Amino acid sequence: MGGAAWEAGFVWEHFKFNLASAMEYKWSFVSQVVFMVLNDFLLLFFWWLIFGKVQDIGGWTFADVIAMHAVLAAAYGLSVSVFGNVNRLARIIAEGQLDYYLLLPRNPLLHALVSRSDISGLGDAAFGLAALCLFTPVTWGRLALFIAVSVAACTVYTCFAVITGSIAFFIGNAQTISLQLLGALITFGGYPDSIFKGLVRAVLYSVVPVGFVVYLPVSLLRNFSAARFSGLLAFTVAMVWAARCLFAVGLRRYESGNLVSAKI
Amino acid sequence: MRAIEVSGLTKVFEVREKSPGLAGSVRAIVSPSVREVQAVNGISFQVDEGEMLAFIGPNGAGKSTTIKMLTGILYPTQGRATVLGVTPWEDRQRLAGRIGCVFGQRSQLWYHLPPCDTFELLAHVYDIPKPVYCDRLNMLVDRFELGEFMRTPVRKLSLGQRMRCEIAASLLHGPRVLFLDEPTIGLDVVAKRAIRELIRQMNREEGVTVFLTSHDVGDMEELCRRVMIISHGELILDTSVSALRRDYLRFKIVRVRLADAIDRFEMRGVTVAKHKQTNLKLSVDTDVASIDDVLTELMRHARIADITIADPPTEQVIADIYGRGASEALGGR
Repeated sequence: MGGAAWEAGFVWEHFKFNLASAMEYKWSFVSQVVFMVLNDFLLLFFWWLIFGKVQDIGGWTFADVIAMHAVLAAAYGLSVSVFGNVNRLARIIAEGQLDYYLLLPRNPLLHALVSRSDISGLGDAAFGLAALCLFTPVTWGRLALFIAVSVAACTVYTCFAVITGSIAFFIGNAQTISLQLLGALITFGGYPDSIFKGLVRAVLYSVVPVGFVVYLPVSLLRNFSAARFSGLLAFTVAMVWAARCLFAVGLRRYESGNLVSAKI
Repeated sequence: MRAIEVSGLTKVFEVREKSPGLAGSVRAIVSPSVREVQAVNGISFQVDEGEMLAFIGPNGAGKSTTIKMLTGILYPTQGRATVLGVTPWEDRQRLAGRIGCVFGQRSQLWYHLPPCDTFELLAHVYDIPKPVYCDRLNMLVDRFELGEFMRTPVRKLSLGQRMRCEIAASLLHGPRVLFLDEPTIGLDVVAKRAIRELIRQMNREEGVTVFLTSHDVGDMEELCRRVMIISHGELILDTSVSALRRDYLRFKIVRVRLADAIDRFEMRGVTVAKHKQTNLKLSVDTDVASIDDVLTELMRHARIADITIADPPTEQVIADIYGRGASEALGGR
């Protein structure tokens, strides 16, 4: 546990540092966060129009859809604001920019992920929390559960991004395929799972794990079950293991590079 | 005590090749052509603790690949290496706490923040206890004269100031070995001199082993007593800097002022670089003509009023060694 606390402190220091770096340009910082919150709320407006015409979609009410967007936004927002290089890992590997992280006495994967922060992600995370509190019935217990499932969903998303990014170790430039897979996860995560059946549904709980980033967390918020919560945690641990292993195997094939670079 | 020991270190890269144009790209997808490139080919050497060594070679010779294997960034294809007793690619994290690296073309400073913030973050990365960090930072700020721009964003620093900060950052955790890859690239003469003096000082006072690669011969001459030359992945010379100048000097520059003007001067092995009435500048290939013979020949034409004989610049010596190739230069040490 000492190791985990040590790593958590390391992540926190970088998060503070990234925040300080972003605040060097205060209007850019504020506008990124504020406009992301507004953008997310605009999306809810369209769902509000739809639910003005129908009572539910495959058993999902307006409150369920809000919970879905709240979890997706919080998971994604936490991921890109804390692990800001998560969507750029394939490029970092292909361009040989891992060198810097390999020269320091820390876990290079974690270090590479946390050494940048996408500040607009804070807007997503703030929207997730605000939407849940404003439009769905909230208790302290439900709020705690929302935070717990959002952290788990964030971890699954981050690990999925590491896995897709690590493809770059094996095929070179994998940035496009990585972004396509992550984009698919976000896109499918914006619709209730009850509209997907058969093979598509199977894919969404395996190849592109939207089920564990959005659907299972939302189902826990709708109707908590200890068994399903344990399932979510077990899948999260398995994803962490898989991402670390694939990255470690890929690192042996890393070819470095000679790109001139600065830490921005 | 050895700081670095390398034996038969080899690195082979697979390089995909394609013909030019769109058709070539399509062909490369259907039937890719992969070529093996031997970036480093079985090199062996040792570096003692506290030594300052220049590791030089032309572009693509294998310098950076060697450094990347010695710092654990790359896994070798074959061979063994230890740095401070640690195999870099097997125990990279442990080694990273005991070495420092400066890549002239890659900054470790955060561009939008002042250097003091990067130093603070690095103290966390290296897990340096607060009192130790404060003492060390004060010493480095003092020695590298960083005080006046410690709170200025890095983007507003001059290249020389930035490089001083880069080197100070790499020394923050008290490394025993410092890998410097082109530390003076792009700097003016004054900044280069300052950087070299600081490196020399850290070596003298803390016994830091310095492993330097540079295309600037001045770095090598002013900092190092030993030089290794790598070409096409093979170590072609391992000798002292003074022996390099002495033993591998083939050409001498002879400047002579004659008492009387001559029309022309011709001799096998001698190239007239400049001829203006009584003044001559000759480049003498001592493999073909000795200095004695040249002076005798000159004196047959006219009396000599003044003469200077000089070595050519070290750049030329090194270019000559690159040109001679591996087979001729082997066994230098």
